[in-house]
Amino acid sequence: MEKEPIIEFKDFSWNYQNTDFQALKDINLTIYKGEFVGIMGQNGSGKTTLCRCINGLIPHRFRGGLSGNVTICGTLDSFDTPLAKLVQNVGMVSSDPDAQFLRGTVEEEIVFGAENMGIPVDEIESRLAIILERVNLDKSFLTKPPTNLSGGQKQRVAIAAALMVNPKIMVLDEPTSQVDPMGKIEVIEVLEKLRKEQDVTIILVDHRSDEILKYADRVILLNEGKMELNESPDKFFRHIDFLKERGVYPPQVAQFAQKVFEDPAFIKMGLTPEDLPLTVDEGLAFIKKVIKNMKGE
Amino acid sequence: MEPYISVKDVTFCYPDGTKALFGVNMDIYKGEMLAIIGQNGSGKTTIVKHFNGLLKPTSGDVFVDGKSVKAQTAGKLAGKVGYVYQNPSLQLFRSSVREEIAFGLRLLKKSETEIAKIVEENLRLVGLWEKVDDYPFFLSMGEKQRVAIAAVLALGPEVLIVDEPTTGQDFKRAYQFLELFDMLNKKANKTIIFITHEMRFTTEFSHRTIVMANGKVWQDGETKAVFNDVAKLNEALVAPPEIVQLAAAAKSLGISEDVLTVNDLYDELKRLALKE
Repeated sequence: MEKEPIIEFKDFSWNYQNTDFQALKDINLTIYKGEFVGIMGQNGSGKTTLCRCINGLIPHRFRGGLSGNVTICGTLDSFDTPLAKLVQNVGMVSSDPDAQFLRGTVEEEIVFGAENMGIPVDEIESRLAIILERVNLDKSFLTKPPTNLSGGQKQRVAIAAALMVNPKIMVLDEPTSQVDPMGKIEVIEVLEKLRKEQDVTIILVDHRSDEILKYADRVILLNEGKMELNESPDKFFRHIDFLKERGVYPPQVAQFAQKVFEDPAFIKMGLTPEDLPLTVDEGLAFIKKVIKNMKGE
Repeated sequence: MEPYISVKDVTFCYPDGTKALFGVNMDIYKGEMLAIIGQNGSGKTTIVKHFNGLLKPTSGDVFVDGKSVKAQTAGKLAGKVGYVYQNPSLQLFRSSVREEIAFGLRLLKKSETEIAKIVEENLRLVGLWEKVDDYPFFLSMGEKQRVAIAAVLALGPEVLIVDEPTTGQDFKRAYQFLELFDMLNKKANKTIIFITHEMRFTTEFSHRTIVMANGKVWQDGETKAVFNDVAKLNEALVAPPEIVQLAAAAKSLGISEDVLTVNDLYDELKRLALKE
């Protein structure tokens, strides 16, 4: 089956007003329907700017200069399409859910956007029931004030609110940076479920390699506004020194193996780059191989 | 040795009735570099806010420098226990780096010659002396953080509390930040208490780790011992870093339990594979 492009950047560059550098430079990128794409790079590399271009905040709410274009859902040019239309296709979740909460209860919070768009009440009610299930939130949460929830729960409320308009794309800008490790897992599992069951395209900006390694189909590295890598995670995370120089922390298992690779004492073992492990399981197989080969000498 | 901070059976209830601490006991000694970890809501921030008087215990007591915090003013405690915020922009507000550091000292009515000396000393310590006349707003984020730390250090605290120093930071910056505290611990002999969710920083930088769960101390010990008890850690809903998980999985191959960092495991494998 032909893959269906859902986000296309063509020779796209952007600089914010009153700055003398390009926040994004010559981006050429196609993302397909149902893909889970990770975006990494150090602070200031352009990750958030890229997200804003996908949901139309750039160019509609930020001032600046652009060249090239961004097309959403095959036909919607982000420059010509009104923001209201773009946000029906692209849901956005930021790292700070408290900044977006403005209502008294979880229920009001979730339905706010949909009410604003004039979706009929019956329709909102039926969507709400479905979406609560999708984000693994119990009905009993509906009457609670959103500010009293845990970090993981807050982000699932934020995701639910974004899902009310049935977006085809979800953009999440460091959604778990303020959330503890269990909360991170709660959030990521919801995203994976959305992708699997609803074919929603997921764009996830994250500083941590663990989740991206596990779930992403593809990872993009931004550095000073340029796209420097665009590969599957198993290729991406093997650029260990390159990533470190650009502020990205590669998986610890890979860093460990890299040190073994570079050590002359181990060179005679004939390890090849394909042996470089990324996960704990692969790491265990790697240690076994090293010990076996050394003993076999 | 007498602990510098001693927490005795502390319970704490926020004014809205939420109970956050249920009988916490811990001792902190001079010169330690200590991590406090645990789920959100486990009581980490609530307990450290007792150390500098931002919160007072509902029952039980906290002793700092031998005296109950109830008998010490917030101003006095600020000279003993400094609190470094996640976001330095929240605390910077003067027109030069020098003024930023001098501000707290003027409130303490120090003489101008003394202030000049303390400003230089602390800016040199954090490696920012050459920026003394710069406007703080135009510094990089990392430099702003160092100004904020120098301003806290200028008050001469024995202990620095660093709450979530790595949130929202890329790896390079987070690492540099912890290296700075490591240096302050080693060179300036400051006691450092840092709260974090990043287990890989805990294992690399802290000698001792306290795990909190449900408003109580769940584990308290040498970092190695705490991370070796994976079952107990998991009960507190904390997962050890990948490299510790890998070492645990490779135990039957002869890998020691004492692995905490990437370098540890590398040394272990070398010892094991190259010993003959």
